[in-house]
Amino acid sequence: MKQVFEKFEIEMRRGVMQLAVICLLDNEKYGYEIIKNLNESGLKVEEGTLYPLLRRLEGDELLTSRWETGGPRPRKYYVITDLGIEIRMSWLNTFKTLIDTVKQLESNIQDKGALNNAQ
Amino acid sequence: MHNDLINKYVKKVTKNMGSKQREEVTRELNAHILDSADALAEEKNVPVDDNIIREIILRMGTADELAAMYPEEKANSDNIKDGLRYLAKFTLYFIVVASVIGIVLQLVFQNISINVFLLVCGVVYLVSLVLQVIRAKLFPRLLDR
Repeated sequence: MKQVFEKFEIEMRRGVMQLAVICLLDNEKYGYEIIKNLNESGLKVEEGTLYPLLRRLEGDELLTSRWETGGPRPRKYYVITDLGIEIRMSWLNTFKTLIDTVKQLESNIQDKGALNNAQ
Repeated sequence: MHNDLINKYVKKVTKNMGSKQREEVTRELNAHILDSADALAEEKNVPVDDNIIREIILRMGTADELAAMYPEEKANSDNIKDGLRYLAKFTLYFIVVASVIGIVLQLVFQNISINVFLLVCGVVYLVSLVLQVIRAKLFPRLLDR
C-alpha cells in the first residue's frame, strides 16, 4: 500500500517539477539555487532529477543557459526563453484544467468517510 | 581526498555521453555536489569530508539511474569515435578467438594450411562484421552494452 502511494507520488512530483522549474526561471538561476527554491516552495525535489530535466528543457529551447566562471566555482545559469514563456502558459492552463477535473471527480466519490480519512 | 569520490561518481554518470555533454554535465554536477556538501556541512556544523560527500551522492541517486535520465546528445564526431571503438573491440575479440581456434586446429590436425585458415578467418570476419552492422541498424541499443 505504502509502495503504491510512494510510486504515484514520485510520478506526480516529476510531472509537476517540469512546470515548477519553468515557473521559477523568469530570472537567471543555477541548479542548486533552483532546488533550494523548489524545496522552500514545498516541492521536495530528488536532487539528481533536476539536472537532466534542465538539460531536456534547454534542448527543447524552453530554457537558455550561460556559464558564470567568476565565482568560487563555475555555475551554469538558466533562464526561460520566449518559447518557454509561451509553452508555460499552455502548461499552466492544462494543469489548471486537470485540477478542476480531479476536483469534480472527487466530488462524485461516494465514500466520503474514507476520503476524509485519507486526507 | 573527497574529490576522488566525486570524480568516480560523475565519471560513471557521464561515461556514455558525447564529449560536449560530458564536459558540461561534469562541471555542473561537480558544482552541485560541492554546493550541497557545503550546505550540509554547515547544517551539521562539521567540515566537508568523505561522509558528507557520500551522503550527498546518495541523495542524488545511483550513477546509472542519473545517467539514464539525461537526454542523448551525441555529435557526429562522437558517433564516429564510438563506431571506431566498437570496431577495434570487435576486431580484437575476433583475433583472440581466431588465434585460439587456429592453435587448437593445428594441435589436432597438425598440418593445416595457414593460407586456407587465414582466408576462412577473413571471410568469417567480414560476414560477422556485416551481421554486426545489420544488428546495429536494427537494434542500436544493443551496442551500448
